[in-house]
Amino acid sequence: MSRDSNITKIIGEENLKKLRATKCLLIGAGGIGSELLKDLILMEFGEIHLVDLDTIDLSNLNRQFLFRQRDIKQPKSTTAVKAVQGFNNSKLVPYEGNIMDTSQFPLHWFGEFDIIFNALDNLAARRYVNKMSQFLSIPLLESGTSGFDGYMQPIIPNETECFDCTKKETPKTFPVCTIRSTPSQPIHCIVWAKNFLFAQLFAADVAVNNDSENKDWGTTDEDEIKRIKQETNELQELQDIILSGDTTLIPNIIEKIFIHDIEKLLRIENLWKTRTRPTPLNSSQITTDLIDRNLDLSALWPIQDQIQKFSSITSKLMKRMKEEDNHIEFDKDDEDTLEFVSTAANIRSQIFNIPLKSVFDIKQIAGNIIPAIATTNAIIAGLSSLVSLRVLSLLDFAKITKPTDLNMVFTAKASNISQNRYLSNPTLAKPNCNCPVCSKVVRGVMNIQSDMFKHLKLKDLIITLSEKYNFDTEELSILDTTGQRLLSDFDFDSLDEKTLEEIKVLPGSVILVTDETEDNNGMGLKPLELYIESRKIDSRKTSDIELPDIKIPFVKMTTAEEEHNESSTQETPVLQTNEVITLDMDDNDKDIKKRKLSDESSEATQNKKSKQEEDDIEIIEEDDIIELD
Amino acid sequence: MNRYDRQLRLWGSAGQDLLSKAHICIIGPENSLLQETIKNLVLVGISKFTWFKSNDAPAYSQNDLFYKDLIQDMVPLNPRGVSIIQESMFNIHEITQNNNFSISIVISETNIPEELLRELSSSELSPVIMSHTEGLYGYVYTKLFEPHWVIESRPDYEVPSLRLDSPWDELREYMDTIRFETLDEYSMAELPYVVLLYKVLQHLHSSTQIDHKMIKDTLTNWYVSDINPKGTNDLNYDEALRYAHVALPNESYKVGLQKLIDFSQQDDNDRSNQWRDNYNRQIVTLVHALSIYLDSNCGDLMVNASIPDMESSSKIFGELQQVYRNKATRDLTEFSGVVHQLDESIPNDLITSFSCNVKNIKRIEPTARPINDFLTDSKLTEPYPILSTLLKFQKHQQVERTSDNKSFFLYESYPTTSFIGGLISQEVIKLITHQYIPISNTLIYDGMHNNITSFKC
Repeated sequence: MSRDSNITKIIGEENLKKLRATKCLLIGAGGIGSELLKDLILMEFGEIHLVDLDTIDLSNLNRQFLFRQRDIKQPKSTTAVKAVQGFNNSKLVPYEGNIMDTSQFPLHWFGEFDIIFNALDNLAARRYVNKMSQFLSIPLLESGTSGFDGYMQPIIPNETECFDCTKKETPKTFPVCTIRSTPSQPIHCIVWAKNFLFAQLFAADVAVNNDSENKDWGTTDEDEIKRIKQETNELQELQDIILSGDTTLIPNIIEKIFIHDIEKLLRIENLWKTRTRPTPLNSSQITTDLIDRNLDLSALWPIQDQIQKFSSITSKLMKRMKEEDNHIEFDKDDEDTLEFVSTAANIRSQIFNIPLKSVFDIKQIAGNIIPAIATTNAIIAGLSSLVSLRVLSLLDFAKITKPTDLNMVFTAKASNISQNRYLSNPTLAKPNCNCPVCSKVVRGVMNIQSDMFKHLKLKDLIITLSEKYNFDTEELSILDTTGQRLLSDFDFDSLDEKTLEEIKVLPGSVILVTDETEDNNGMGLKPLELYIESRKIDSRKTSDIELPDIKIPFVKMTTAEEEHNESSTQETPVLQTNEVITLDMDDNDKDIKKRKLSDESSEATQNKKSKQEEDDIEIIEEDDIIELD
Repeated sequence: MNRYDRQLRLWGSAGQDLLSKAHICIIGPENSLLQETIKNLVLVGISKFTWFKSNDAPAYSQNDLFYKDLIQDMVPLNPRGVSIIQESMFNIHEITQNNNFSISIVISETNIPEELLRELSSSELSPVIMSHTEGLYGYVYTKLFEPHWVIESRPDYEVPSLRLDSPWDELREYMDTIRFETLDEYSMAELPYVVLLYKVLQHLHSSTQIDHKMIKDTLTNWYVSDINPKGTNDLNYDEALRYAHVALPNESYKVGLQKLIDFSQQDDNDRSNQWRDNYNRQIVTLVHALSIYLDSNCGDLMVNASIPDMESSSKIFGELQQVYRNKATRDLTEFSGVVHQLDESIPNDLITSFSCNVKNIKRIEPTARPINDFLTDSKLTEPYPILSTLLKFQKHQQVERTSDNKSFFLYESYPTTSFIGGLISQEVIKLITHQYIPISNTLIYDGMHNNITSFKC
């Protein structure tokens, strides 16, 4: 019996046809992505499109089983597709690129797919894809892992809660002054070394602007602010040394940041009333020895080794600057940059009487590394691919009557399970009525002739919108949600005469249109969010702007203040439980889901919370820049 | 840096070392579950397998398999090479006699031969994991033949034990050098919260029964009211309130630890050197040594060298840390001495790790029933209809057509295989590394609802 007839017998001819016609979008070819690709191929989905922006790294190979040693530095998406080419049952299409790139992946491109699988490693992309799935009402299967644990959540737009219906923990940020002047924990020194010192010396292109008056320095001490500003200017000079390539000047760099700057700090008496005073390095500790030695990366090096390593690695990076266009980004897997940050952080820690850490430990903190293993990825990909059949109604014998019958899954403490708790599988909740993404707005796509962006004025857009949806032009506000810029409202019309191109409202932009008119009962039109596309418009149509035919519902209008209150209630757990689970997702992710589960004692909850607080402190976002400008 | 960087962060180099030395016995036909399991184990760094491949051809075709040539296809997944030796079932007796397998995994095997069952029932065998998937369902069963010991059970949270209620001389003397009456408000703000808690305990000395509330009340009514009225906004005062429970004797571990000690003493009398797994044997010796140590130390455990991070001046924190470190070093030296009197071969790393985790040591008891009962005793599996149906499928027995959810079993579901393959491998990792707590001992997966049922049999 051939396989095809076998499968037909099981899922039925009609379902088989549907399965073969299904186009899947798989975003991410990392840990979960490799597993998902394999599962989807073996399930014989018709088409699988795979997107990833990353290249393969050695530390991926303990789980991303489609890649080999020789594939290191190759793009993940194309390499993964090559690895499974032997299976010609599914059409496979790889893309190298960032899923948030609107020119490579415009909204209508997403529209070609029947289902989206998220196998991502960062919050921003997860949020973005969630929003696209909401625009197009395409089901999304969201997933993530951290160590032994993971989760999978089906999202059916308009029917079940979306990714943003529950608040996601944002990374911990630190006051500028803690980082720059008064560190008290290893993390503070690591942030200083990575986001401030390294960024300033090797990755800064433009002069840092110090004049911003509204800058929150985390202190009101004028002396200290003055010092921070001055120090930044002096760093410019250090950057010049780096660019000069003159390695004999390395001792000057050490002297400046680990002696003079600390002495300057010591002169600000206010800082040390309740704190232990730092001890600057002794100038005799500075070395001119630039030989690069191999040291044990998981050992704690004595301070003299830290200083020597700092010097040798700085000299190495100075040489690299020449070859790399005067720009090196911190990368946890680039050993030079990691060792620079580790030694700089440790020398600073020593100065401030903070415990030193090994390079191995600093890598975890600075690189925001989340443990990852093959087994959890296999488990989560299995859960995600299986539920896709139910989401797409391909299992006749397991039809869902309503989307909220579906389950989401957490592998709850697979590392430390008690009986029956390997998986927790709550059914999906309805959308959160306060969710700013899926419930607070109506959505649509606006199409504008591509050659019209330089002719159409914002005013024309306002008129067209008002005619179509009966808006009151006097009460209309328009916001560009990508940059959170106000474009127009009742007392701001200076952009109205500008063209769309001039105000950077372009294909891929998303604008939020709100008619703030309220009737006597406080009711008004729900805000409208429009994704702007530029596709060919049917020549028979007269307008240059094509607007979606949607009926905008009347809703209770909320003031900005109420809005704020409501969004703060979002944290209310959707599930009835009381254990807090925190999960970081896949590789570099820092966003944390909080869910509550039943039958844990409240004491345990408290314990976990305090543990959670500790953990939070150690999270830095990969591309999060501590606000220094 | 390292291929295994992301997992070393879960089980460290000690765990990785055990994995890289492991030798796994696999029994079963080549199906997707077997492929998935081997793939996952090779990825984490296991390189040695002996596979008793039964010719029990799967009902479905080779199209189902991801790897066309499993043995070859595994090689690039481990830079040190992978050896999967294929053996015939006929030689199973001889080979199991001559090999010290870390774990045996039986996957979807229809006819588990008598010899094997006899092998598996002998007391000198490594853990056995059995598993099968069918449609949306699967089970994983683990049979232990001796108690499995875990030092690093890795609890989510631990109350630090700082011995504030029963200080040793050096700690008492250090605490006594800090005198409130000589300190101004700034200096008091710099005291670590453990000092405040210690002083509270001293103040309450006359009271017989000290509880959580009394400590908090004393902080408010005595420390803030009488000693340091400006201290209410100090971070150390906040911490003292938050961690007031640290001051109380935390003896919840004692009952469990006493059981382990009783077990080790009994073991010492009954069956010394009978342990199959060297790691287990070493831990039993360590527990035995612990009982001797406790007898000569008034029941006080070894002090931990690390104290939690807390608000404090660096100077006092450093001094305090030194007091704990000194004591920890002395305790560890004494304990190591006791251990080495019993068994010189126990490595120092293991003694240190044992000493740090002594409150969280776990012993997973094996079930008494033989594997054969699980496979054949229908009464045992009766309460779990999914499991009994799965076992019928595994043994190629007739499955009633009337069965309500039969179609769920018929659908060929690679995702279920992927899930169960991941789960088996995860259990193998836990058992080999002796870290994290394994499932005890039977788990049934329902992919329809993503529901898990587990029970012990």
